[in-house]
Amino acid sequence: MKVYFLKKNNFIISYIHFNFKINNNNNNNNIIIFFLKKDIPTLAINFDLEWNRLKIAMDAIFNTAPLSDSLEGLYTLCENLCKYDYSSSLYQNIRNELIEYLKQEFINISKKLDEQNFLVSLSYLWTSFCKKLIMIRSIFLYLDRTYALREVKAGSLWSLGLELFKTYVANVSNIRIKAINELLALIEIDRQKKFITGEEENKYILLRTIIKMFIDLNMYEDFENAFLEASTIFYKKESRLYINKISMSTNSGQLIAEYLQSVETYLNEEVERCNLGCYNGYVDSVTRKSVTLIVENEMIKSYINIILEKGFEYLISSKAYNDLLRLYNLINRVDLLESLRIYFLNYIKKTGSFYVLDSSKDPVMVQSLLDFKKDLDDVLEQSFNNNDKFVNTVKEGFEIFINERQNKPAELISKYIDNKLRQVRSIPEETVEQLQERCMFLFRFINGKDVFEAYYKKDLSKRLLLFSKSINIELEKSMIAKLKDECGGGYTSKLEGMFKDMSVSKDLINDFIKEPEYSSRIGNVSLNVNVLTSGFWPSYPQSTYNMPQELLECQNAFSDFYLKSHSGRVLQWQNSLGFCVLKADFPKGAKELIVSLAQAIILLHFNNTDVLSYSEIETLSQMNTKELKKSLQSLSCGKYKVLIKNTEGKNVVESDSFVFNKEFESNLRVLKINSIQAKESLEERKTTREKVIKDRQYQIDAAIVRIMKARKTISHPILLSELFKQLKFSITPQDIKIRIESLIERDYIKRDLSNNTIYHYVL
Amino acid sequence: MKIKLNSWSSVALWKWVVTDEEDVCGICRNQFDRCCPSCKIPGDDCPLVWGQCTHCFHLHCMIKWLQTESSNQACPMDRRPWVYLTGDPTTQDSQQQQQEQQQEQQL
Repeated sequence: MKVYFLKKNNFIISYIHFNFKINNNNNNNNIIIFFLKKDIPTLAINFDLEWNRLKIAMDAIFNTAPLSDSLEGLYTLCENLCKYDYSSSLYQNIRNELIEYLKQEFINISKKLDEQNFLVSLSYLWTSFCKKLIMIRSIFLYLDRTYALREVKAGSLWSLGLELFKTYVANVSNIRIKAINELLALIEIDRQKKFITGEEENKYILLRTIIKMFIDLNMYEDFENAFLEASTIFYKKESRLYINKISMSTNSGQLIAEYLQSVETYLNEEVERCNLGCYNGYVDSVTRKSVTLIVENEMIKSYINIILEKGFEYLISSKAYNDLLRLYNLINRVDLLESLRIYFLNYIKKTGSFYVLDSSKDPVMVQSLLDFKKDLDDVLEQSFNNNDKFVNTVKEGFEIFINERQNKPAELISKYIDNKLRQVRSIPEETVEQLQERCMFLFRFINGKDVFEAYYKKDLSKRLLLFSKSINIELEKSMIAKLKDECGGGYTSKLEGMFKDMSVSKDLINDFIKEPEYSSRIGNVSLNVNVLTSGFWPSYPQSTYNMPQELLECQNAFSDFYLKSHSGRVLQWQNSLGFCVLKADFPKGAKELIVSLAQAIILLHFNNTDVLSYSEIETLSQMNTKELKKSLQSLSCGKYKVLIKNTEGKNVVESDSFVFNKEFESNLRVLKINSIQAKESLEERKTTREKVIKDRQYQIDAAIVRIMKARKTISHPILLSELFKQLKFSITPQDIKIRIESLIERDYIKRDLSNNTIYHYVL
Repeated sequence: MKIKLNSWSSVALWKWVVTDEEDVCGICRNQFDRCCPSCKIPGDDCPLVWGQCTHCFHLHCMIKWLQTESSNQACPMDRRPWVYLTGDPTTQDSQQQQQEQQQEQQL
């Protein structure tokens, strides 16, 4: 038999090896194993005597005095007693000892209840008790592992000790309540950051120990409930203080920003507090969720309206993107993003309406809106996490405010793009392209897209016909492609047709030059004719002039050439469009003048004489009064005075007469005098608008007939609501009434004989 | 000569030659200035045709009409056999008219 004793950490663990003997002589070759018979000492044990030794040892441990026996001896003693069936008495005795000890200790500590360092005492008691209990358990390990584990409900000695400790904490003169209150007081001081410098670490250790005690004693819930309650009160108070200050202040926006900052700090602190890994953490991590929820609820949720009301507009208009991000995150935590979204939407609507509705801001409306959109994009990206809902809110907001004013935004967007496309030489191509893209964003929300089309078409036609040399055809086409993407091919087919006409005209004039039969008729004049298809282009007022022979011959030569290859057609010359380049030999230097056809006709008449009166010019040119006056004014009163008017003043009257300006001089060689052509007159705008309205009438008519055809009989209010649903632009009930009357006149529909408000479809 | 015309960028609209702007195609009853019902945009893509009987229609309308059995390859207006007119005289007429107009203006 071999017995090994291994000594490790004061515990003696014995291994007994079985010794078996193999009998070789046995024929059966059986292995016979002889179990070692352990000798049990027959000596009778005096339990009381032996227990006394153990009790002395326990007392020594309780009093932290040196032990008289060796630990090894004590362990064996316990083991022996257990083997002689004294386990239960032993257990009972240990229990009594523990009770005795704890009773004494708790009497002591309850005397210190009102002392300042009660918590310190409690923590000391707890830690030393734990140490002692471990020691005792080590001595009685054998008992702990056999009897205690198997037979006793309370389980091991360790849990017995904690159980007993718990009953004292729970029952002796409010120790528990006192301890919790003390803890909460300490935590409040921590929250207010009022720990004395240098002491924080000790306090944190103390807090951590006591809270750990509650956890070990299975009483954490008591603490947690009290802690959460105290947190609620604390944050309620804290937030009310802030909010009172905010509502009193005139500078509430800034204060809100500060408030949000402190909320964030509080949240971070609570998270750290609930992280035992942090040096300042002492609350168990299970509480983290509840306590942060309290901060969120008390500081954000309860005051969400005040925060948004007082803070949101300030933050967004001062572009405080970090503060907005904080606001977004905090509100996101309490799941109230919808409130934030509504404030965001209102802000967009309010700001947008401010730009859109005030007609004095018209010249800068589009630029302001584009800048506004850019700012909002920044907000979305930097503060709102590009949240889809908020991205859509921006769109929603734009759609609402941009349609608050009819027609004007569409007109101004078209004008804005026109302006940029005319300046392509001074603006980099990419910039224009980006601007187009951004304008498309605005365009997308306009209900009256027909208005935009009308104005865009008009502007485009001017660019193509009057500025053909200075526009960038690629950029023009990319704009059309964008419109096509947005509204489909039907929307842009006419605009595309305009480009087609331009390129066809270019080929035509090349062919014309190649045919000397026609081109020789026009002499040295370099002629270019844009042949337009009438449906594509906006209609222009027809003006007829009496033209000098050389001009007339140009037209005739081209007409002959064109009609030769295009039978069944006529050409209708648009004299108000197009421009001429004249070479004028002024005594002080020759100049090239870019002028309108009307201006050219007037100037050409001065070849024969130096002085012409208004009436003479009128007879010669057969121009209508308005056009003649405008042309003469631009020649004699504008920037470049090619003609000299005999009277002062900016306006031309019938009695004026004009002299060719022989003294004319200028630094420039090429002078543009046809700007009146490029400018949009009020009249033109009016006709554009009228044309849109007229086109809309057809749409209204068609919609009414469509509805009537489907319903056969319908009452007036229902017809109205159906129409509002179908028509994309806004209309007034009066407009509709007029259209209904007109349809009744034309026998499309008729009124019910007995009831005026009911219509029937006429089959 | 003080002033000389160097170049002229001019603009003209082309229209179909029809005696009356209100005149309509005898098949679809749309104005000639507009297109036939199956087209959307008037112009090159929806031309007019003249028959030797001097009647005028949208080309698309005429093709459709001639494809129907009841047409008997006749002009829908006078039932005479339909023959496309080539080198059409109306153009010359209208050209003369135009020239006359311009001469009038000059005078």
